[in-house]
Amino acid sequence: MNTPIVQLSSIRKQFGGKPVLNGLDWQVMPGQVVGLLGRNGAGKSTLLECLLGLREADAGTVTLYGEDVNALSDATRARIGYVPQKCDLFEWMTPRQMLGYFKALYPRWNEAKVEGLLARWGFDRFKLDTSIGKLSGGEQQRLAIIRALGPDPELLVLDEPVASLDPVGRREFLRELIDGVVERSTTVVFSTHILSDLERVALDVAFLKDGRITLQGQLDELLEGAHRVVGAGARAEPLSLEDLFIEVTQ
Amino acid sequence: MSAALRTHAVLARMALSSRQPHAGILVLSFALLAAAAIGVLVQLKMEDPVLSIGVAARIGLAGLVAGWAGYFLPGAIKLNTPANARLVPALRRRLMGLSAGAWAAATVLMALLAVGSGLAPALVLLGAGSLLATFALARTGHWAGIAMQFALFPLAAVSRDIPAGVLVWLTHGPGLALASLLMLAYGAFVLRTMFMHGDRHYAQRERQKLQTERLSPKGQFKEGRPNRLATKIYLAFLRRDCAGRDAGKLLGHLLGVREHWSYQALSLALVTLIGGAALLLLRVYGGDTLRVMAANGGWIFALGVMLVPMFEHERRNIRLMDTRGEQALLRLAPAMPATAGAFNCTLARVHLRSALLGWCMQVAAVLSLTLAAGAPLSFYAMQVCACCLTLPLIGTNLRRHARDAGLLGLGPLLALLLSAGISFAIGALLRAAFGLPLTAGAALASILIALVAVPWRWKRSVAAPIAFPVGRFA
Repeated sequence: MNTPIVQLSSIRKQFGGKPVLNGLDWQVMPGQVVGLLGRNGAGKSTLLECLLGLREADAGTVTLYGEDVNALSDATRARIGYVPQKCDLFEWMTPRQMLGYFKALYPRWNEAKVEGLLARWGFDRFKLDTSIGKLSGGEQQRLAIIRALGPDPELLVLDEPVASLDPVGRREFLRELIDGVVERSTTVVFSTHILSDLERVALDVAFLKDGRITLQGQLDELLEGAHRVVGAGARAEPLSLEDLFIEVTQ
Repeated sequence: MSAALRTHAVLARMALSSRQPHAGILVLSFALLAAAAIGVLVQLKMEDPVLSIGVAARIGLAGLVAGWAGYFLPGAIKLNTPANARLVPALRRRLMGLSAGAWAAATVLMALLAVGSGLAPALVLLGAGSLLATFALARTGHWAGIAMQFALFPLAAVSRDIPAGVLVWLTHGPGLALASLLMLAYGAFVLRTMFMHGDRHYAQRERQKLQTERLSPKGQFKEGRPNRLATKIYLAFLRRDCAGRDAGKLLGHLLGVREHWSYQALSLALVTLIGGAALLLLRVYGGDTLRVMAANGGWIFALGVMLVPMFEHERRNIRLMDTRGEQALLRLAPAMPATAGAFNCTLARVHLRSALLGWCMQVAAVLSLTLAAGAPLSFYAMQVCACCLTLPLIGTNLRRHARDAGLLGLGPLLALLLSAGISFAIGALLRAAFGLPLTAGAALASILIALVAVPWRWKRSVAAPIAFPVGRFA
């Protein structure tokens, strides 16, 4: 029987009296690639942080691989990769030193994959020896992704991972995500505003609104079932993902 | 008022209010109040109206100059962004005019106010002009300005030893003319550095920004690029710790080079070396007065090293707040302890180890400096006792980081004052009861306070919610 990898039950979180997550229930099954959608300030980052135990929920429970998120075993944490929205990456280190540091923090580290990604994503010898603080925003974001992929995670949580990448960088990242991650049945949860990217990668989408997951399902099915009535109820026009986003989140 | 004057006035107000919206009024009222208060005191004491007015005028001018250096200069430098310089016509020229005008006026006024004070006005003119220019140069982040700012204090100590002939030459004829020209050239160089333009402007801008940021509570602990040697040593430790895979040691690298014990050890060694060399030089080349002064007063200078932790704790807190993103990644790393208790315990151990090591190194530095000063033997025991007074501070960073991640502010200073107060009170009691010397009794009391306070803070910090990311409950 398939048991969910991520299970959030009745999650509540508020900041200064303003509820951000309001009794949210959500689960992610193994191998699912879920795109988390929501408007600015809807609480996507908060949800992902609660999901990883980086922020305590006011109420409710979160389990990852069946373990309470506040006491994850070493083995479970070794299965998780995370790319935060703001890629804070030990700016005083060089990429080589930072990756070496994280290699020491994980029991498993795919050196060949990391080297391959570094080479493909333009990290030459000069860049590898430049301090991270001096790299561009896009380069830092790529490095954050490489760092997250280093331990070969089984659950990859990405908070707007392509926000700082140029179109070429986004395409390369998506290719990597499809070839190296999705096809290996890695579970991926990622939030993004770039809907065209989501359409390329995500099989499932979840809409966050008013602190709850208001709509979740397979992207194709959702788009197939979503129609807008035009011309005084005479004709049903199919909706694009952008239209659906606006309809659901408004 | 003409349009040009109005623009100058607007720019002056903008520069003044850059750090504090009411800086103009504050500086003026402070200068007036200080001048009036001290003038009245002098009048009450000396009953000489001319002297009182003279002193009041000097104090008032000093207040205004302090305002110029503390508010106007950083503000003017901040205004001189490449974008502003391009968009606002003649901005740079006007800022230069304002800064130079204020500098010249303050220098000349200081020289005029020195008339009748016993000091040679020409020397005051040269000294004040160079001093103010040095402060301005330091505000730009120029290394020479910062170094000269620190060099001024020892220079003041040896100024009495300048031969009278040199001073006479400086205050008359060609000597005065040459020195004035040199001062003007120095002023022009400072002005050019302050309001740089062209491509170099962008490079200088970063240094200036950092220097201006240092004037804010958080910015004062921001530092430029760390020393190369220190970085090399740190990287050797990083490589060793990565190979060792020890959670505590790896956690010690979260805050970067400057917060690593190796960097602090190197900095302290350098300070001890320079301070020790200066004290030795004073003993060897100084007169008898200076030798006695170094021997009897050098220990006070040495003891200043013990106040270093107060600044280090604050800097560490700021670094902790700045690295919350990294902390999230470390929390998820399997090498780190999983439960809140175990994680907080590891972090507390890192903090405590670093603070204890720092304290031991500081005591060693204090004793070395005391040795360099040539202090009598009896001073050493007193030094160690005085060092013990700061022991309770080693628990300062054992905090509930998830909740209390804000700045410490005056906390450590107040804690030190309170603990020292209690220690001396107990020391006085012990002297009365057992005849124990006061400082020894106070040191014993401080050790006892540390033995109570540190374990209490340890328990509190370990029992708190998991420390990383810090400040999420604040």
